[in-house]
Amino acid sequence: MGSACYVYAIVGRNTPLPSAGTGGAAAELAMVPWRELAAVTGQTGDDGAPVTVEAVLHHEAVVEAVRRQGPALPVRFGTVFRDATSVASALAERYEPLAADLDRLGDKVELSLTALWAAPASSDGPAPAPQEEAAPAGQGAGARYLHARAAEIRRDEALKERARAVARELDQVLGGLALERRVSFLPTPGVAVRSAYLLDPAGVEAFKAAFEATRRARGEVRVLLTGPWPPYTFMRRTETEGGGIPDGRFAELAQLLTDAKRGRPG
Amino acid sequence: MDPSLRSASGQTAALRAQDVTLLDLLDRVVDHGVILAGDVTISVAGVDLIYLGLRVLLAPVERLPELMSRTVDAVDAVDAMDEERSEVAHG
Repeated sequence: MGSACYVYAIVGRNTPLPSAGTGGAAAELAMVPWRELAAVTGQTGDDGAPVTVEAVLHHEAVVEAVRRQGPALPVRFGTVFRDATSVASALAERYEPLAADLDRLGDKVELSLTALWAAPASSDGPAPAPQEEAAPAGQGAGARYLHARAAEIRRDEALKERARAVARELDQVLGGLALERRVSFLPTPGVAVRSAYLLDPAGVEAFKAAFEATRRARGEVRVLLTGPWPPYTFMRRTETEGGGIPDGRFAELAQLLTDAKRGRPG
Repeated sequence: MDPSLRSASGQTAALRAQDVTLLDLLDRVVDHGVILAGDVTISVAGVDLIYLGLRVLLAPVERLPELMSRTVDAVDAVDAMDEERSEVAHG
């Protein structure tokens, strides 16, 4: 085991560490305090953390074990510092927003809702209208290209509007049950809507019941719910505030997963 | 929309219910949560290394029984929907 510090979570400095062996995830944890906060850390190799199935699951298991001890913020996978002094400096640098987020989110959970288009999986979302596909006869290559491009733009806009309509319908039922929500439209062509809902843990069952009632009414999409998860999505972003879910990597992850399941090399 | 994603749309559209749970976990753990300026390569400049590793990580998804158990609601919902559609189609 190396000497670098891998950071799992941010907690209040008086939060107890999980007992060793809890869920197989709590061995060799340590606290690095700074004022009223502390980082929950483990040891890793000097060249960083391995990227494996076990490492990602271990990260999540530790975060969840820590959160059973008290309010905690989940730290992004792969956050490694050279030593405890560097960890403390990082806490000091972002102390105020971290303290505010711990107060706001530390004991909350999130549920993830995904609406997949119910159209055949091999299509690019719902099928376009046939009249948009055929270019008028006798046109040159340039005109045909422009015609096709215009049709493509119309399909994109129509699809986005349908995704927004799905989101509005879901929000009418579920939005009032959540403390906050983040929504993104068409993060991949096969996914109409992704939403994250921030909840008090006591509200999870009521939310699931409402979801169960509304998902039966969906014909155009398959609506899936996962969680509860630690509130990863609702951390204060350093770049921009508000808006939807930062989906920069979701489509890439989706592609990696579908490639892997089809046995393709990366 | 990123053109590279458009070209891949046929594949990304093929997500299954079980895939969604795995994606939900990966997206959160790898790409969200508290961002601290870690000073070892993998956490900042090494973000791409994580994705490189994920290509390996994602292959043996059958090794995630605990994770898959969280999909129960979603899978049940989809299965029930499929059954309803089947009944309509064949009824």
